Amino acid sequence: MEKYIEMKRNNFFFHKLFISFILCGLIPLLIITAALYGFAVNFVRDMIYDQTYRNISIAHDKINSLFQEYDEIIEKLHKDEIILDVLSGEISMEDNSNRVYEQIYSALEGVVDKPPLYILGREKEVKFYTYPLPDSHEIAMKYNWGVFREADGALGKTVFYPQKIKYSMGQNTVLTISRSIYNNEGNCIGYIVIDVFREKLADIFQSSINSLPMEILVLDKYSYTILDLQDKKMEGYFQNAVYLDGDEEVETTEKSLFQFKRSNSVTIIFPNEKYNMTTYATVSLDILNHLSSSIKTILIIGYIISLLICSIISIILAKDISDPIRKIISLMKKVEKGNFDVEANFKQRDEIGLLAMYFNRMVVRLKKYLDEIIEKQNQLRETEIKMLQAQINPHFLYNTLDVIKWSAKLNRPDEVTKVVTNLAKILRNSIDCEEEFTTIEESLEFLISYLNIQKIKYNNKFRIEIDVDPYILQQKIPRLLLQPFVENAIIHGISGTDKKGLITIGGEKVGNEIVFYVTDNGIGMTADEMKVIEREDNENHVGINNVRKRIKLYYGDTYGIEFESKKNKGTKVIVKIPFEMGDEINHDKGYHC
Amino acid sequence: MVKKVIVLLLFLTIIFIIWENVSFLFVEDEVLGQIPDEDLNSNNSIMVYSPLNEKIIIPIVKEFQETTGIQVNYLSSGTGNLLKLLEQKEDMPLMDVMWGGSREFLDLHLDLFQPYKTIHRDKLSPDFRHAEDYWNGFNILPIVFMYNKKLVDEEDIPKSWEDLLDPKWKGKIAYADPNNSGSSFMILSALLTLNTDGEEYNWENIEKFIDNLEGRILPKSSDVYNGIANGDFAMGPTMEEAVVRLINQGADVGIVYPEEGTVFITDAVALMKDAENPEAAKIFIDFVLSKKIQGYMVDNFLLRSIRDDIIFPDGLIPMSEMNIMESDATQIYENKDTILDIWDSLVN
Repeated sequence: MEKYIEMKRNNFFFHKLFISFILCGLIPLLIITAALYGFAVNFVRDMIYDQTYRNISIAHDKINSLFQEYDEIIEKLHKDEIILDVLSGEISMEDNSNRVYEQIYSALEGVVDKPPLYILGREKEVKFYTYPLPDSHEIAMKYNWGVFREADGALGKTVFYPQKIKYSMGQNTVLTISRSIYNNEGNCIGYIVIDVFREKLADIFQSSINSLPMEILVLDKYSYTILDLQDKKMEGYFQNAVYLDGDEEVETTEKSLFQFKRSNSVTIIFPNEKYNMTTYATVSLDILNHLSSSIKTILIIGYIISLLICSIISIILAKDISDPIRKIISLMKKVEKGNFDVEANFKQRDEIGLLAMYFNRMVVRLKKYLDEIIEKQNQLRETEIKMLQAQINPHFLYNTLDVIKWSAKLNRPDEVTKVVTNLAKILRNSIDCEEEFTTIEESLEFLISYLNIQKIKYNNKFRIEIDVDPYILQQKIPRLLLQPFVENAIIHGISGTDKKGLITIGGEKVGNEIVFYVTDNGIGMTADEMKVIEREDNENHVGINNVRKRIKLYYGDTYGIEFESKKNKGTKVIVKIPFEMGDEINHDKGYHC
Repeated sequence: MVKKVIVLLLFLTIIFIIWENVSFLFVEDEVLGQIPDEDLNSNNSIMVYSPLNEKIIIPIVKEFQETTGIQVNYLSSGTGNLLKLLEQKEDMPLMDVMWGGSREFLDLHLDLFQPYKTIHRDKLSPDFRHAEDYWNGFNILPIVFMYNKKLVDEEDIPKSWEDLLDPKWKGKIAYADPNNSGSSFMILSALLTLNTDGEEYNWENIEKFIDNLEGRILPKSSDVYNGIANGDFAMGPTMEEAVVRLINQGADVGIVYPEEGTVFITDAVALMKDAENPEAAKIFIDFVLSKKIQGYMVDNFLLRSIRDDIIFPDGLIPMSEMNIMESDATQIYENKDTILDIWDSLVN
């Protein structure tokens, strides 16, 4: 569970870095490209708008000059004396027809694509025409209709009147220019009429819009269609009307009739104040859409590539930062478990490198401190052991020398020899005791020497049986492990009884332990006495405590000494120490946790 | 984990916002201008519905606008469609003026109109205006017989409605579907009321007529006169205006006013009860009934005027010399649906 949480934390750190890097990489990119994109699209759109506007404005300049030209024709004719005379009936039309046409054609001289020109008498039946006169003009004049009404209202000024008139050969005129002719009394006697061919206007627009596909619509102020480059059929119709074929179902007119809205287009309105016409140029934004969609595609591909690169760099960067930290964490875990032989081996010279360096130093310091502590403890322990050993030797030596003294006094040289020989063995053993540990065999030899001396001292009052498994003879045990108990058995157990004593020393391997026991058939102990002995701080039983402390020091609390005893029956001391495999025995083991 | 989700959401939001900001640039339709329509709802504009031919509507509307300065918005459609609109409209004001529906249809919907006494009232023939001024006639269109002179001998020229039932014309008569054409229905009603012998309708005539048609029923009324002019048919009943126009254009066709009498289509103009701009609408009605417009209409479109003081166009016999066939047309129009149902079943 703990591990899982740590993993998560590690991952989180990684992801945090990862996402941060990606965000830092992509957001500026997104913002910049979005801004650039918007700028580009707007720029192109403005360009389209400007260019369209300029084109339309050029077209209108041309139209203005065309109308100017036509107006000048009218200007030339309307003051002409012959025409005035014919119109007012002062001279006959038939006789002067040629002269009038001469005037007309001279006025039209030099005009490209000569427009239909008519001179119509208002009161008199006078007609001059360069094209067959359309009925509509005659009827309109009769009823003072349309252009003629306007011309009357204009009081001698030229009027420009949008109206569609069908001519032969599929030609149409879309605009009629007219001026009333007045006689000297100021009465209107006739009209000069020029019809403007549709193609004339259409060509002007067509030549101006070569670069951009656009729809041109020219309307008068009542939305009457003068020119519709795309839908010729709409010419002569009103835009603000709904035309339905007979079959078509009519919906209740919710929709606006006046909207020029078309999808994906921009409509530019160019009013021509002078001639009361307004041009609606609708430019398709398909180019823009095409552009924007290709930019979009490029952007999306760019984003994907950037995201990939960004991700890779982010992974590398995030790993670069998070991996050493994770490594240090795992090293710390090792240190926590007591392994100080670790080293964070990073080549970086940045903060991570510093962190690793100080970590390493810290571990080294820690290890050094720990080693010092262990060293101190070791020294302390050795001192203690030496002190304990020193506690045994004088006590025994005094007793033995006492035996020698008495043997000598009693003049028993054999005994003296034997005691001295065994004492010599014991002493040599003690002198050689640089080593704290000795084999069980040596230990037993020492015990036999010791017991030989004691036997003499106690006049063979007891018997000895030694029963040690030969398998364990080469096992190493602390020196003087059993001697205190043998000594106790003799001094406290057997010496107090009259019966023949028996001391048994046994040793065997039980499981992973070596168990020694020292039994006697002496006076034994009561339960209360047992309790006194088992108390570890008992100063009266230096020997037992000595052994007990040493076992704990060397092998830990699991091992130690047990007593079994019954009053007047005897005592059994059981010593347990671990069985150690192999020749090498780690004497420091007792200090390990 | 929560933090991660928040970061992710933030990230997505940022992308979304940026995308939104950018994407509006290429989905937007932009109209940098539109035809100024401030007049649309102001007092200076009216809405006109008209089943008249656009050739008639446009010059008159144009002249009206330029003379009065009142903007006219109009919807041009067949009478049937317009009536359907009127029936569906409920309380919603659709228009100010209904211009050009035939008088019989208007009679059926008098509740939609309001009476208006035009300033030209005394010049109008009382026969062609509503007794209570709910509508005024705008033009009169007599139904005549047209025949192709190349296909019909002098002695065979049809003279009467009865001739339409003569088997000798089998397959030679041009006739448009009365479901679609107002003039065709007018012809049908004339045949229905011919020689009724006390019965309401004379369906026998119709059966004979259908027999003569041999199943060739044309979709539009213009197919009738064009069909006769180009020789697809020998003769047929059609509108006077069309025949005169064709004759003027030099087509080799003849015109006959039937002996029993001529029926008329009278197109009327009426002021809507719920007109939003009744003052301008009244100006419009006065305008279309004025001598100038009526005269122009007669000269230009060969329609007959309802005004007494307008001389009828060249080539037309005067109204006074015309034999007018009396019939209760309104009653027939009331039963139009039933009659057309029977017609359809007879045809099939």
